[in-house]
Amino acid sequence: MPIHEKGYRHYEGKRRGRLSRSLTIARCGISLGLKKRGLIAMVLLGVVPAFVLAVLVYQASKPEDFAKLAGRFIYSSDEWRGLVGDAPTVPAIWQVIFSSFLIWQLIPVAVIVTYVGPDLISRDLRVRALQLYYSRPLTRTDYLLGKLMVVGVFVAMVTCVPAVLIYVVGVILSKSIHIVADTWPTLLGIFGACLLTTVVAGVIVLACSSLSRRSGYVALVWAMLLVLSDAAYGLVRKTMGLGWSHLLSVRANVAQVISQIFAVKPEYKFDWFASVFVLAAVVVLAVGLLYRRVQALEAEH
Amino acid sequence: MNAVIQTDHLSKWYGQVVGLNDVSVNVGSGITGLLGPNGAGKSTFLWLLTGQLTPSQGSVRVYGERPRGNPALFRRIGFCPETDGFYPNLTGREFVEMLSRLSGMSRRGARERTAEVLETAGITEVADRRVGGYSKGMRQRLKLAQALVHRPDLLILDEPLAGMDPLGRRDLLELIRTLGESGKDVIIASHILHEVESVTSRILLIDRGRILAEGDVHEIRALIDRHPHRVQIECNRPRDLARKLLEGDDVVSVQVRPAESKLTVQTTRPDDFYARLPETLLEGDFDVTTIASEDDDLAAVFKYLVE
Repeated sequence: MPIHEKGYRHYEGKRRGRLSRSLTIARCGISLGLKKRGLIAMVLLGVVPAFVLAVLVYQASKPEDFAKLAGRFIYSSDEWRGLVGDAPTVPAIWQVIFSSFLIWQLIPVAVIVTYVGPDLISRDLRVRALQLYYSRPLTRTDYLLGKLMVVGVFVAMVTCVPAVLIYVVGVILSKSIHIVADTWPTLLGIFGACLLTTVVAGVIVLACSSLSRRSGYVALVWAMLLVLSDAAYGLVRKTMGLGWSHLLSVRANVAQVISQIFAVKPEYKFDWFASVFVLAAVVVLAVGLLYRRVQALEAEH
Repeated sequence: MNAVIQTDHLSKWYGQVVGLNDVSVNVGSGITGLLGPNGAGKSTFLWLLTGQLTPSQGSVRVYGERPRGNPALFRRIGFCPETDGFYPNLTGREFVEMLSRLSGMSRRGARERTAEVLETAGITEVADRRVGGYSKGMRQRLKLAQALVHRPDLLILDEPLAGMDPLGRRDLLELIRTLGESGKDVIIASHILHEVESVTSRILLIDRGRILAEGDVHEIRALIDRHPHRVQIECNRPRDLARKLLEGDDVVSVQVRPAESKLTVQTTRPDDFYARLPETLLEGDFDVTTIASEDDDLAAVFKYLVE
């Protein structure tokens, strides 16, 4: 071991801001995630529905024809009219198809998060990396934000990225820049829906991940949470027929809020604000748990 | 003395278990050895210094600041924990670079500095291999590299020599000495007295969560020397040897165990005893199998101090 450290100097370079620390953690998590071949395959599979969206956006350039197509293959004529009105416009159609795409994508998102999420904190607990992290100028918020960004990037790969690309292609195909002025709420909606999905899925899976050093158990808990909440919703709806039964399902609540973001008619009649409240409560609980669990060695003793 | 570390009635309990008990110390600049047997509370003390644990009672200050929840302080601290904390799928270079960036270094600065510390730690050749394939010694060097990478003022090393080969130990001790000479502060925790003694004469002795002694290692040795020193000898005629040894006034007592062909000698003047032992053995034509000092290990030192 050659000794070169004969004299000691302070680090005199510029110190980067706090966000760079979260980004460093995110970069590391993404790099480790990309080493999983299964995850890459899942992301590629998860993008497949985007091709359907691309076709629909292309077709939407002719609203009358699209109404017939949608009425025949996707919705009943009444449903379609209920969604876009009697004289559908391109922006209205885009709102519906982009929101439908992002709601549909909740399924691949759930699968991808099952691949990427469980390891994020449980691995740090397993290899005791937290004591190295917390011996750096890093707060719990920086750490958790970095981990959430990892989930966000993989969620965006199957939601935001294809949706924005298709939106841009749709704008180019329309041959008129004015369409941007008409459809900017759709673009904002895409980002909003992606953010919502990331926060809800990310915070819940991170909270699960902080509970165990074994990522297999975490994946199981996360999957059970989604399946059981959906099953509870189905059971209550079928047996009791309650209007608020969808509030029991994480997926249904997210879908309800996405519909609201795009200002399209929601699937569930119950007030969308109730879904916001349920999701907010879940997120607050999960964040509270995370802050308790992710504190260096304290959680281990 | 400018106190690098100040603790005031610092205690830490893990439920019913006492990790650290009412520790009040001032540690000054330079190299300080934290000596104690396994389970003495060394790691708990270091975790409290690095803000990884909250004190159950009392307070701890590093450079005058509370470490817990004080990220800015960690720009000045480099911590090398006893356990690994690596991601096996990352390469050594990726790992150190990531941690240097967490200290706020720019991408370029982190890359350059990582290369430097990997060289310092002697693992440049394996730096692009996955950490999962590293030997224990390489892992120790990697931990040291990450602790040095952001040029901290205070280096906290928890059992840094464990698992290293003799050459690596020598080089690391040399590095620590160099850091100390250049004015940096180093806390090195170990359970091996001679390793710590080779880099500093200032030590803290810790056992069962309490600081038993602090100060110059020679003073502590003198304290120890006031207690009888035990030497165990295995030979063919233990009774005869016991009789011969008791003729000297440096021997306090001898305990003979004929069934095991062993005797244990207690002496208050070990130097005199060791000086006359070879002659005694030769004169009596004793066939000696082993001579062992029970007091060479640190546990015996603590036993004396506790008693």
